[in-house]
Amino acid sequence: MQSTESSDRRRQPRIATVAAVALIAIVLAASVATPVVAHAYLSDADPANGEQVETLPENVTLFFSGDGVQVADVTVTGPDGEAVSGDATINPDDTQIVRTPLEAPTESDDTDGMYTVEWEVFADDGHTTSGTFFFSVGDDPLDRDAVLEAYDDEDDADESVPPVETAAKGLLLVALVALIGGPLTAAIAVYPAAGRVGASAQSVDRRLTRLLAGTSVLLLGSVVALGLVQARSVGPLVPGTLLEFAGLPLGQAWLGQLAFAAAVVAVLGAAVAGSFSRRGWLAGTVVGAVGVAGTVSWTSHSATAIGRLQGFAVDLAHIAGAGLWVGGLVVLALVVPPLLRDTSPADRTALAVDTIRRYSVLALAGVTLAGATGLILAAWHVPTLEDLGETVYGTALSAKTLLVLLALGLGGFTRFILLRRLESPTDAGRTGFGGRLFGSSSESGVREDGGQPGRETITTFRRAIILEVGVLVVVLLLSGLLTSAPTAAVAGDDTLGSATIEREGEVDLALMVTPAEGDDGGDQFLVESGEPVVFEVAFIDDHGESVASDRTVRLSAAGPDDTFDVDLEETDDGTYATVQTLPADGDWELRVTGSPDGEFVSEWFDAHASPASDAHEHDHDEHDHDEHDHDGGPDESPSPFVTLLQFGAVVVGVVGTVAVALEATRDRDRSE
Amino acid sequence: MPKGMDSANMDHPVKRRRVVQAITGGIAIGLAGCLGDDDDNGTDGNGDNGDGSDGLAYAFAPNTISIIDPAEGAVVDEITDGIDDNDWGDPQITADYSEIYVIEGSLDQVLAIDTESREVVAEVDIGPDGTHLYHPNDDEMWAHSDEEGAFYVIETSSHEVVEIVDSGLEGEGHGKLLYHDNFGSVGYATNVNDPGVPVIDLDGYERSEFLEFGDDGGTHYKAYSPQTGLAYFEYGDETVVVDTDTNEIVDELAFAGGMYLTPDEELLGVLDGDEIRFLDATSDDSAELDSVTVEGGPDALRYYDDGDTMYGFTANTMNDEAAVIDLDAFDVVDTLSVGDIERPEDAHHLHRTGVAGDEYFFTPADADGFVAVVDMSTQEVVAHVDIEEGVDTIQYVGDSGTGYTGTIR
Repeated sequence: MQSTESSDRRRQPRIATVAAVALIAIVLAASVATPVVAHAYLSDADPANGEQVETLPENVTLFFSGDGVQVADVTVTGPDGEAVSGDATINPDDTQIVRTPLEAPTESDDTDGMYTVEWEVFADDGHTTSGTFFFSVGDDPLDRDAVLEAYDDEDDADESVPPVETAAKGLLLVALVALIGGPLTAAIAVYPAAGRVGASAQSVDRRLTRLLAGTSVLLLGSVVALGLVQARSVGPLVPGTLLEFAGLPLGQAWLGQLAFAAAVVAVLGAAVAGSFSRRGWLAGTVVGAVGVAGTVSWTSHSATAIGRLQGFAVDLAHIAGAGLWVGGLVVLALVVPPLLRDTSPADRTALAVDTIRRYSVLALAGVTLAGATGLILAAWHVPTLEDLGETVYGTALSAKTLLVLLALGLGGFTRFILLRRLESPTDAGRTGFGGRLFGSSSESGVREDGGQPGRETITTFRRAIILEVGVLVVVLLLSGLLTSAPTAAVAGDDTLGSATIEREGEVDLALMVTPAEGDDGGDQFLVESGEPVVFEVAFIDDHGESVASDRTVRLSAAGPDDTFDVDLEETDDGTYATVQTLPADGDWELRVTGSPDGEFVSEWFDAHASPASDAHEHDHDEHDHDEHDHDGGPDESPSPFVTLLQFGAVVVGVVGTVAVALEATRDRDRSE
Repeated sequence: MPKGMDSANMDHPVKRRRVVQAITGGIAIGLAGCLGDDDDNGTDGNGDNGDGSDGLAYAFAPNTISIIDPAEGAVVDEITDGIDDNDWGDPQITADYSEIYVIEGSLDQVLAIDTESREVVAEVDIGPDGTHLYHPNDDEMWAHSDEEGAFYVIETSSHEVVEIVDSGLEGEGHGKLLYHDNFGSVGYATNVNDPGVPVIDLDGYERSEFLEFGDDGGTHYKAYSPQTGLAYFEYGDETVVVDTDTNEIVDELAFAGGMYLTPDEELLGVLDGDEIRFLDATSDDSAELDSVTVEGGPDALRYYDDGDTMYGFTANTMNDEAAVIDLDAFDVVDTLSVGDIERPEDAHHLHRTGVAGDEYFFTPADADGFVAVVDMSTQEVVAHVDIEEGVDTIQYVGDSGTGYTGTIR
C-alpha cells in the first residue's frame, strides 16, 4: 500500500508538470482573444436599420454575431400595421443568417412607408434575444413614435435574467463541482490518508456515496429543469415542443447532458447499494460529471461566441478547476470530520494533517486553473472596467470575485495557520483571531475530548471549511447568474437613453436626442453612427410651456463627409421631431432653426458619432455579408482593462503552476 | 451656450460645418446667370493692416478673403480666421462702406466684415439656401432664403435677424428684391416660382400685394428707371414693364435677361444671349436704341464715363476676354485678355462676375488663379493678381458707379 502511495506521489510532480504546461498553453492561447458577444445579437440587416429603400425588398435578411441561431421568429409589419412577412428561415450553411420573405405587393398596393422588423431568436447558448428595427420604403421618413417605442422596448428587455434558468444553472454548477472534485479529492487525499493511519475506508465509502448520490440527484433535477426552461423558449411545453427542442443542436446537447447525469445517478445508486467497486464508482462519477460539464461548456457563452474549441476548453477548465477546489472542500467538510471522530485520538491529527496536505495540492491546482481561466472569461465578456459596475453581468462578476477572494482568505487560513498548528502541538494552545472566530476559545480551558492536543484546532478547521464551502456555494450560484445574463460586452452598450441640451434665450430651445448620451460636460451628444436617431426640438417659454414655431423648424447637420438638411414635423407633444441617421463616424455639427413666437432662433449643437461599441455592431458600410464575421468582434484593440485581465491570467497561471509544483514536491518530501 | 453660435458670436473656431453646400451646389448651375460673388482668400488670419479699405477690393475664395489694391495690382491683406471651405453668395457693402455683408452658403449664414479693421465681426444665421443680399436702407440687410422664399432682415447695428418676410407665394423659390428711394417703403420682389411680383412693405415686413403677370412661370431679373418710374421684370422670355406709381403693367418686351442701368440712368442694357439690347430709360415706351453683339457672351455689364463717352465693360462667359463697348457708337471697341474661368464640359451659359470700382473693373479668372484688374479709363489690363482658386465673388469698397441700387442684376 505504501509503495503504491509512494509511486503515486512520484507521479504527482510529473502530472503537475504536464498539467502546468497545458494550463499555460490554454491561458496564453485564450488570452489573445478579445472581448466578444455572447448570445446572438443582430449585427447587420438588409435592409439595414433606418435604411430608406426605393421598393419593398423580397426578403429581410438578418445577420447575427456571437452565437448561431437555432430558432428564429421574425415579423415584419407594414405601414398599415399588418404583418407582411412569411416564415423566417435559418441559413443551413451559416446559422447566423436569417432570411424572412416579404409578401409580394400587387400593382395596386402602396408599399411606401415605414416597416418595423421585430425579431426573436433562440441562440446556440440557449438564450433568447430579441429586438426591433426599422426601414422605410419610398421617401417617407421613419416615424418618431415608433422608433422611440422600439428603443424603449429594447431598454426594458435588455438585461433581463430568467430566474428559473439562473437557479437551475446555479444548482447544476454546485452539483457538478461536487461530483468532479469530490471523488478526486477522496481518491487522492482522503482514502490514502485514511489508509496510512488504518482508518476505516468503509465509513468513508458510506458517507461519500450517500453525499455524492444526493448530489447526483440534484444534478439530474437541475439538468431536467434547465432543459424544460430552454424548451419553453421554443414554444409551449407540450410534447411537440420537446421534440422540436430535441431536434435542435442545443436540444441534442441537452440530451447528452441528461444521459450523463442519469448515468451518474445510476452509478452512485449502485454504489450506495454496494454493487459497485470503489474505483468504479469514483471513476464513473468523475467521468459522468465531466461529461455533463462538457455539454455545459459546449453551449456556454464562450464556446458559442469565441469559438467552439477555445471557448469550450477554457470553460471546461474553469469548471474543472472549481471542482477540484470546491468539490474537495465539500468532502473535507462533510466526510472527513466524521472520519476523524472515528479515528483513534492518537492518529487523528496525523490523519487531518495528511488529508489537508494532499488536498492542498489539488486545491492549489484547482484555484490556479479556475483563477486563470476565470480571468480569461472575464477578459472575453467584460470589455471595460466600467462594465463591472454598469451591468448585471459585471455586478455579479464583481460580487463573485469578492467572494472568491474571501474564500481564498479562508483557504489560506486553513492551509497556513490551522495546518501549522496541527503539525506543531506547541502551537495548538494559541488562540488567535481565527480561533476566536471559529470557536476554539475553550482550547486553554477544559477540553471536551479529554485534552487531546489539536482537537479544538480540528473543530476550528471544520468550521473554517464549512464557511469556505458556504461562500463558494454562493459563488457557484452567482456563476449560474453569469451564465444566464447577457455578458457585459453586450449589455453595457444598450444603455443609451436620451440626452438633452438646452439653450437659453427669449424662448429656450431644447434639443433631445434618442438614443444618445451627453458627454461629461453636457455640451455634446454622443450617438451611434448608422443608427436611426430621433432628434426632437422643444421651444419653451418662461412658464415652461411649449411654444409653437411660426415657421418650419429645421435641423441641419454637417459631418465629416455628409450633410443633410431636414424639416422637422410637429408632434402631438408640441415638439418638432425627425428621425435621421448620422452615417459617418466623427464630429458632427447640428443646427436647429425655428421661429417660436415669431422670434427667429438658430442654435448650434455638437455631436460625436461612433460605431456601436459593442461587439455585435458592425459598420454597415464596411460589412460584407458574404464574409460574415462570426465572432462579431469589432476590429478594435482590447481595452487596458482587458489587457490587464489577460496579463493577470498569465501571471496566475504561471505563479499558480509553480506553487502547485512546490506544494507537490514538499508534500512528497514530507511523506518520504 | 458653450458652442451655440448666436448671431454675433465670433468665438467659434475654424469652421467645420458644410451644411447645405451640396444642396445648393446643384441649384447654382441652374441659376448661373444670376449668381453673384463667390469666394476669396486671405493670408494671416484677420487682416492686420487695420487702416481701412477704401479703394480696395475684397475677393472671396473658399478659404481666404484676399484684399486687393488695384493701384498696386497686388494683395495687400488677407482674412483667413473662421474661413474654411466657404461657399460665398452675394456680397453687399453698407451705404457708408463700413461693413461688407456676404452670404456664406455652406452654413446658411451672412458674414459681416468690418472694412476698417478688416475682420469678420459677425456670423448671422439665416434660412437655408441664401443667394442674394440687399441693402434697402442704412439699417438693414435683406438676405433672401431661396428654400423658404423669404427675406431674413438683419439689423446692421446688432447683426441679428430681426424679421423674416415671406415673399414667395409658395414659401420657396429663388428671389430678388428691387428697391429705390423713389419707392418709399415699398420693394418689389421676384420669385422664380411665382408668376408675378410680390410687393413688399419694407417697414411692415410683409408681402402687401402681388402683381400677377400670368398663370404660371416665374419672375427673376429686375431693374428700375428713376427717370420714367418704370420697373422691369424678367418673366419667362419676356420683360414685363410696370408703372411703379400705379403698379399697373404698361408694357411687355419680347426679350428678357439681366438688366443694367447706366450711372446717368439714361440707358438700360438688357442681356439677350450674345446680344446686349440698350433701351432708352428715359422714354415711357422703353424704346430699344440699339444692340451690341458680344462674341463670347456678355455677363454683368459695368459702366465708365470718361466725361465724353460712356463705355460698358463686360467679362465674357465663353472665352478669356472682356469686351469694351462704346455706348455712343453701340459697338465693341476693344477686347481685353482677362483670363479664363472654370467651365464645365458642355456648359453653355455660365456666370462670370464683373465688378466696377471707381475707374477699375475686376473680374476673377478662377481657371487661371488670378483676378484681372482693368483700368477702365485707359481700357487696359493693369494687373493679374494671383489669389486662391475658386474666387467668384468680389466686393469693391467705394463707388461702384451705380449707387446703392446699382447691383441690380
